[in-house]
Amino acid sequence: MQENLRDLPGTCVEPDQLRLPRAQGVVTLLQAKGSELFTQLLECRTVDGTAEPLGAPYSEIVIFETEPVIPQSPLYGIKKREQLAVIFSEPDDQLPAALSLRKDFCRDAPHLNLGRRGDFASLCWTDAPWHEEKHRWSALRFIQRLRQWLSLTSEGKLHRDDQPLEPLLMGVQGTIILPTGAYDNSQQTPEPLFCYLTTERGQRPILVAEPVQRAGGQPAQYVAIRLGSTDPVTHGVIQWAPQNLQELHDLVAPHGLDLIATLSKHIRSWAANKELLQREPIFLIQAPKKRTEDGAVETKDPWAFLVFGKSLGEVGESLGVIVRTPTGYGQLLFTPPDASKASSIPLALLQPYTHLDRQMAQICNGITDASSSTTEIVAIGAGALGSQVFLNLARSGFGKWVIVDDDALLPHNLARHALVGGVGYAKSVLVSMVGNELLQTADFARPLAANILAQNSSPELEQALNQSSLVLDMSASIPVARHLARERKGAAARRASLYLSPSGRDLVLLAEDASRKLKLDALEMQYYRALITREELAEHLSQPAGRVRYGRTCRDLSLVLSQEDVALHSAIGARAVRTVTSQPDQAFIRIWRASDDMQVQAFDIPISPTIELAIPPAGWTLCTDQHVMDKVRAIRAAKFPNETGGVLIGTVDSERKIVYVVDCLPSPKDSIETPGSYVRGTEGLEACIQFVRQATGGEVDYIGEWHSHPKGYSPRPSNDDRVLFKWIEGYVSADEHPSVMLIVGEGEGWHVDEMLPDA
Amino acid sequence: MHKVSFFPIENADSCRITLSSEARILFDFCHRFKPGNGKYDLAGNIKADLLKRRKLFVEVLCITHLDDDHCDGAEDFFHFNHALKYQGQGRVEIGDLWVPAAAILETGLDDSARVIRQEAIHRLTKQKSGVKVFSRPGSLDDWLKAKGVNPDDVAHLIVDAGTYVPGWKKGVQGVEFFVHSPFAMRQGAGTPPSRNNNAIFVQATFQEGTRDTRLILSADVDSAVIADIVKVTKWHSNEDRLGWDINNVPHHSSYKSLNAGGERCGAITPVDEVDWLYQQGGQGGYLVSTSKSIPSDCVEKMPPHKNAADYYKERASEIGGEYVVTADFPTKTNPAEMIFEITSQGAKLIKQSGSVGSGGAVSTPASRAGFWDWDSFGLFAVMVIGLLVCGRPINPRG
Repeated sequence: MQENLRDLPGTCVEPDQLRLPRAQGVVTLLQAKGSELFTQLLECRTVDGTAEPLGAPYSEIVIFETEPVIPQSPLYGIKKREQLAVIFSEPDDQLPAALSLRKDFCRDAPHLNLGRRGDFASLCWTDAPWHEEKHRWSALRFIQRLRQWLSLTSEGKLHRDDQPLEPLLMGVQGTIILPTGAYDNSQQTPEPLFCYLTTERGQRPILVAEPVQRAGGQPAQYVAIRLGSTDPVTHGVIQWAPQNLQELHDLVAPHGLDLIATLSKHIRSWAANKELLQREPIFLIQAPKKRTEDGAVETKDPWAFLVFGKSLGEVGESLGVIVRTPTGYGQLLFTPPDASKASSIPLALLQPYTHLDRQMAQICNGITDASSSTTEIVAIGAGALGSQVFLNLARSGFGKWVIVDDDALLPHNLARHALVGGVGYAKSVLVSMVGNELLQTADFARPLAANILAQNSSPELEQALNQSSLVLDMSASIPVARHLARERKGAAARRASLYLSPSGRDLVLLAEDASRKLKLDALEMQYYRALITREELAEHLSQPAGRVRYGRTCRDLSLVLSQEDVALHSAIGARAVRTVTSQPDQAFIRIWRASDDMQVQAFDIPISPTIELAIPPAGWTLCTDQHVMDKVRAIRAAKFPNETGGVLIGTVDSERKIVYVVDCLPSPKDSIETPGSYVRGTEGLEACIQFVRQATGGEVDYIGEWHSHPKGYSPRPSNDDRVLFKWIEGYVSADEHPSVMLIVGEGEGWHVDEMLPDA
Repeated sequence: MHKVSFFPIENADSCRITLSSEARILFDFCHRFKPGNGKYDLAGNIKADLLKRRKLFVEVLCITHLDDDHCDGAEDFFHFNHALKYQGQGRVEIGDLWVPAAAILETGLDDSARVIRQEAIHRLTKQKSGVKVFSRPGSLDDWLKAKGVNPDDVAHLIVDAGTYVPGWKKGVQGVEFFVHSPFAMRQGAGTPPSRNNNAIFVQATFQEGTRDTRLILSADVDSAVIADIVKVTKWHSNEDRLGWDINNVPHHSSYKSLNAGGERCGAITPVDEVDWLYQQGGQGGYLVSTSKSIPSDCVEKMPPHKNAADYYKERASEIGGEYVVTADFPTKTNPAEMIFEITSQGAKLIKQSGSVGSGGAVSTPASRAGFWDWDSFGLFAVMVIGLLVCGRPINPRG
């Protein structure tokens, strides 16, 4: 072999003396197909014992030369011929290593395993763990992967442009989980973080770092010290794993960080803090990284090093900056730090993870829309559906929330709630806490224990509503939805309702457009019409058999509802919230239905423009939509020259004096239609109304009558019409409903409650 | 990404340039494959490639000179405008036909050479478009006048040495062509024409990102022509016009292209100017020999010539590059198309054998399978014959 190649351990053997199947596979492949793969077998070795760098009882090494596909000017000095050694070990429990045998192999190349100084450059040829890689192993795939590693690296493409510049750590000796902003350099002397070991001593350590010491219990054994940041560099500062403090210092010193001086300064300032100095230190440093020399800083590599078996005080003593006294430590103010013992302070590399925050949550969920962080949502209702929809969106870092709910969490709630405990406490508080905890922030969600229907509205609630850009009603309450639609006029935000059908099989979304042309109550009526007119939705609001009664009123009926249905629909609901916010110009009436085997079908209900009329003299508002008007006009025209008519169905909000006309029923068969009159019959009508009541959960009922006037006639009421109006009144007044009559001629005339005398 | 391909067609030339715009430019064509003759199916490759873009059309076909090894089989493959006989479905149409002036002037041709000459003449004198004639010797003007064509009317179809081929700019199409040869002077009256030395010699420059990658295609010229090219280029201080990253060495690695006066089996001392040319390679550049495998000694009929190959290998190694032979790539036993990709870091030779692994299986007809065991056929036959003749099966094994 050439001179610039390193020596490998072990004994040179003939290829047929290898016995590990994977090594044999590589050799067989290269012997048979080597030239076609541009790869020539050079040598085979066997290694007994745990000679470095192998660390396995028995290993076999296959050495070959390969010609990767590289351009004339390769990056990282990849050569037209590269000699590699691949190492297979027994037992077969670790990723076969692929080492470059070239001493001058470029350590800057991305996707090299971080080894120790003087180690062979080890190609990180897969990011999958060995047990996953194993089952699809083939020698051909392995060789091709290594050739690809070299080829792509030579063109700087192994690190795809969209791939973050993550450091790949091989040989990490533990894990540390850090709070968000742990590497933040804004503080002059950053406070140490308290680290708790979650694993047993002797196991591979996992440490959790927290800014505040836990009250009671075991004190933190470790303390993480933030030692600042290097200057920005292209790719990595750290190209091999430092084994002691001196090596770490030497690595970062050329990049503008004097580690020993910084550390000494901190230790001096903590000389009086005996408790702190007793703990074993973890050093945190950060290395900002650029992809190209003149590029912007793209990422900041976090590094964490654990000091083996020495307390912070002992480290300080070694550095000669503090001295042990009978009571604690004293500062040695005037002596410069003594670096001579730095190499006796052993370090272990930890893999740092930072806690999930909003940004990471969005990245993990593939959310790129910038508005997702700023959309202010007031959620009303933190019950089964509300809490789970909220938590789904919290996990994607979506929105800024105010959670309005005045209920406390009761034991039976837990059967279908996002919360797992905290019974007796306010749902709003608990749910907000979970959201904030999840994203490690104080302001992702804010609780408001209020009832939106309460007489004395809290100013806080008023303010939250006024500031929001979406009021999301998940209360499953019609009065709340109607209240939001018609009241709270100070809040310009669009309203949306999400609720489950009584069976839990259907999820309903009603959402206004952002300009609120189509209000929530009007959408509710059109939704009812769909339930009446679309056969497949007829069972939508039917009550399932068996209810669990625990409370006082019928609103408190707790239904039997499977958590599986709630979870499924909460996922759909969360996506629906994102869809709604991304489409401000559109209103939605959408129903999702899950079948027994959890297939989901979506029904999109077409929306017709609202028609709203103020009806004198009694001050009623008539609310219907274009669809109803088009329908009566079409029926009238179809019956020319006769008059025709029928029953109007709808609902009345007597509190706000609103009459909602949802639809008209067809003229009964026994009606008498003549060119000068119409007498509405009764055949089948009762059954029809019965069906309407049932399909709409009793919300929609008989509300009045309509009839047509012949071609060329105005909708002016005749004397007969006035008599009819009185007739209607005689029936509906018992329900304290106004009588409603519509006359359709060349134009339409609505009459509600009172019929005006002719002008 | 632009691509440059060479093919294992032994001592013959064909180079396909594929631009990232999907345009195809073909320098020379030599198809000698017939089922069972073991030759490379060049026409099949080129047609399959064109079918990928659903257009049987090459933007340019350049025939550097009319020797068989540069145009064999063209008459059956391309669509020629000049005669119905060479038209029809499945033929590949030619956008622009590039030929040296010698190809117009030469007479008494057969086969492909004759068809290409006829087509060039048709395009030059009848269509007055779709053709470029390289160099304008006085004899070409005379020939045109004799045909009743005013030479000035077709001047735009004539490209002189020392200029760029019009219509191609590296900043626009990604490639441009600088013409080094033929010189008009080599076709002066009274000189016996030599096809090889009146062949087209160009430098193509590709642009990818901010990087230029240069390809030299030198046909079959001998050392004297190269020496002239070098002298003229140096005289014009255009040395960079002879720089290269891929250099298709002339005449299938013949010694005559290094030193026409040299000896077949002696040590090669290239003419100074030629030696200079082969030192103009960019770091990591490639010398491509479109030839048979290099023989291990010099007794075999050449080209290719072992000592010439050794010379090229030395030059390649000086620049950390490679000397590659089409017949040996990727392997002698299974040669295939040699593809260079032009990247922003220069040319790269694709060294990936698709024939290993399952990828190879799907692109190759499978080996025979089935119930019938052909190896036992003989045994079976004996048994059947035995049954017929003796009325009982003969067991030849016992």
